[in-house]
Amino acid sequence: MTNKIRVYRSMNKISQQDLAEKLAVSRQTINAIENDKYSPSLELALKMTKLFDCKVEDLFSLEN
Amino acid sequence: MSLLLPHRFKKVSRVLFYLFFGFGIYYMLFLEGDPKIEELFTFEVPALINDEIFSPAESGWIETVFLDELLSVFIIIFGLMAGFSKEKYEDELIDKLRNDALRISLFISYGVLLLTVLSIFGLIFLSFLFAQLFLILFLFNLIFDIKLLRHYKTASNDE
Repeated sequence: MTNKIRVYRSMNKISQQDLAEKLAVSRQTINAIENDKYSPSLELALKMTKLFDCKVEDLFSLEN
Repeated sequence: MSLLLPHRFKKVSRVLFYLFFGFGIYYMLFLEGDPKIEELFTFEVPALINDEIFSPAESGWIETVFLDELLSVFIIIFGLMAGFSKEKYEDELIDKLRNDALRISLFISYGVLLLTVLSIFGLIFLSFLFAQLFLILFLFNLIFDIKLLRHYKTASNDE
């Protein structure tokens, strides 16, 4: 699974640390998700889409 | 429901676990049977079941070298505390790392047990079996700590 969190984060001018604090996770977790090393839970994914005001499929997509 | 202890237990229990585990191995290899140690740690303790060779099982107060029992208790308690205390920022990725470490340590421990059952015979089998009681706890803590170290290290250079 790939994601565009880094893109949305820069569009909204939010640092990894700020995003982590808003989502109640560590900065390392945000970094791992952005680098496709970890796929977030559905709950965390939904929190992100709510924060960035976008759809799940805008933020996440399945690799072929 | 979180079954984790508060973060304040983490550091001290981790240090004590590795300390007692190391001393436990040293005791098993070099100190077991040492008369000075036996004299120092011989106590009268209550036994639910005491099964001596050539005598029937009984319960009551018995005199025994209590050091190995003490070490076992400390290793188990501090091992569980270290593995199941919250990280400073406990989140779902840390939970995944902990679960992965637990799964890997379970597979390795039972792999070693299989090899032991198939290749070790006689009374020494019991010594191997006793040592393996603590293998899963040791591997779990070791693998979890390595995973945490890599997690914090690889994630420290990005923003």
